[in-house]
Amino acid sequence: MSEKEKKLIEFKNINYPDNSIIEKHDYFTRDGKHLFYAMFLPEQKQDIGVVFCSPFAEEKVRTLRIFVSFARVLASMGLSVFCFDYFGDGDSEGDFEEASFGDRIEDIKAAVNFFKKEQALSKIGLLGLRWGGTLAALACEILAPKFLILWEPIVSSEKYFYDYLRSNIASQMVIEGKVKMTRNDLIKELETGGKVTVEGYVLNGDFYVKARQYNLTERKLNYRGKTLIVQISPNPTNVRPELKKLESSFSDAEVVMVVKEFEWEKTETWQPAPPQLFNITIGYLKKYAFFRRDI
Amino acid sequence: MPFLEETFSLKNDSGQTIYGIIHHPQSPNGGLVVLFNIGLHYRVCHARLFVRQARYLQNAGFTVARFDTAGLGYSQGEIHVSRAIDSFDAIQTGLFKDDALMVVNYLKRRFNPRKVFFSGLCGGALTGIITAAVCGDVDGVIFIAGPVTVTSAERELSMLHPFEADVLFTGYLKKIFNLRAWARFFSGRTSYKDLFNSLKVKIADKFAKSQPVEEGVESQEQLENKGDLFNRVFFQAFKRLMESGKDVLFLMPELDRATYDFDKMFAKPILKNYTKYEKHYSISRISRADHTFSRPESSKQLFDVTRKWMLARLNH
Repeated sequence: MSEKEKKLIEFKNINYPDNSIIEKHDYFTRDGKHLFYAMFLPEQKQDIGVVFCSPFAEEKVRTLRIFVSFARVLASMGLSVFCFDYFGDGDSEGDFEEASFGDRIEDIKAAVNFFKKEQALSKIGLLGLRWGGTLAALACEILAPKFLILWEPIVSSEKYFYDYLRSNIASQMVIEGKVKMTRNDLIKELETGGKVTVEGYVLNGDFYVKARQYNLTERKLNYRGKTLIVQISPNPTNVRPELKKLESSFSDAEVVMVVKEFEWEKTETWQPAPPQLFNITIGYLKKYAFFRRDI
Repeated sequence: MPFLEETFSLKNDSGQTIYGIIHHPQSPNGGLVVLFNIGLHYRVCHARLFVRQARYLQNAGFTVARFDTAGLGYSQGEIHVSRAIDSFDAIQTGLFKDDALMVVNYLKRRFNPRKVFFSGLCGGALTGIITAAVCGDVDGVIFIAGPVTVTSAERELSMLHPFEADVLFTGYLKKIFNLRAWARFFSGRTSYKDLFNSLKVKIADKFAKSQPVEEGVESQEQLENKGDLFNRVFFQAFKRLMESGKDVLFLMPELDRATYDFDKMFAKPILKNYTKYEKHYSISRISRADHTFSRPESSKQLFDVTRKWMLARLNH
């Protein structure tokens, strides 16, 4: 690789108007439910596109701009991109608490099918951030995409949702002045079909009980395509053991590390286009020739 | 009710495409509501608050629009890399005013509404009131949990806010008869820094002099509209709306530092001078609500109050 190629592209102006990208926003339907989508299409597209799978709840709101920026980056390089909102999430129809775990997987399947048909694409790649990565990994067993990219995926959903409930405790402290329900109480409430509000999102028991079952390293995943796992952490020195294990759950995966350039748990830094994450992902797609034309 | 939501896009003066969503009512009542996005967040707001509010108002017959201002959400344009806090003052003094005006003008041309209402939360409340003051033909503004201050990032990051100091200190006070708490205190496990800092901030706040707003000598810091100061752009917008006979509803959550500043810097010292406009403004307080109305009961109350207020003005 030449020095020029090694140089980090910063994507500082990627969100400025670019006549070579066509952007289309609308809704598609899945079982009669209207799901919002935004397509980013290069003027001269190839027959491969990428579907982005959003993270969970408020993490999605905080990181949407990263997806939009990367969609524009990929479209500027010739790849079509499809962003969408799950049922009950973002701009899609329905309430958050109405959406089941199965709905989210069905939404990914419907998004892929709609995008392929609408744009006459023969191949699809999936990209997911955080719990969106978990969903993408599970969906790829059914959809067999050409490639799978997981940005800081959640390996253990049980641990993720256990940690997630901590925000409810913090809210109790502010609103009630004390903790009335511990995390174990909240879990019991969910397990018995109750609802718990976290950061304004109402979790229903059925969703929680199903969603927490998934641990991506419990078994070998039935997917043979190329897989990139990106560990995003403040001081990456070693690959975390659970991601090492996840790597071996796939047939053809590699793990890379990047420094954390943006946040999903808060909004302190405004970084709409994290250059290291974008460059490393582009580098991977280039390595396996998923672009027709170069930057 | 069928799904009656539509995506829309417009180009602003810089050629950037601005994207948004319109919620169409099944039986339109002639009212148009525009929701302004909060800070650097996109049009759905925290926990989809705006999606839920828009659908609630849509069911009551209003046409409702939400959109992403330039540089945010799906819209084109860039807000360059920085600390998020560095953008807040710009937003609170009208950064998104031009995009907002463009979208409002488009919606007015398209729907020819009988009445137009603006509503926004936090930074969006400021975008709403500032845009309304320029726009002219807006019938009412709902200002939800908007900060009435402008604050330099350095000051904000280095100081504990009096509201937060109050929450901390009240927490310590509640444990005054708790033996375990005293045991923690004497064994060094209490955060002495938090305890004494909260006490210090509370005392300093009690004796702090309020800044003159309408008259008097202004310091250089005030002229630059920086520091922990009253937001004069907000104030001028409010004054202009009152003088032109427009209605403003201040909707403030109880458990929010924005409400603390609102009371201390605006409601108590300034609103008393505006009694002649009393029929044009009102304050509604939502108890046990936080800044983002995260409890379902709080958001339901927010939706009810805003719907009732707009319906009352629709046929006025």
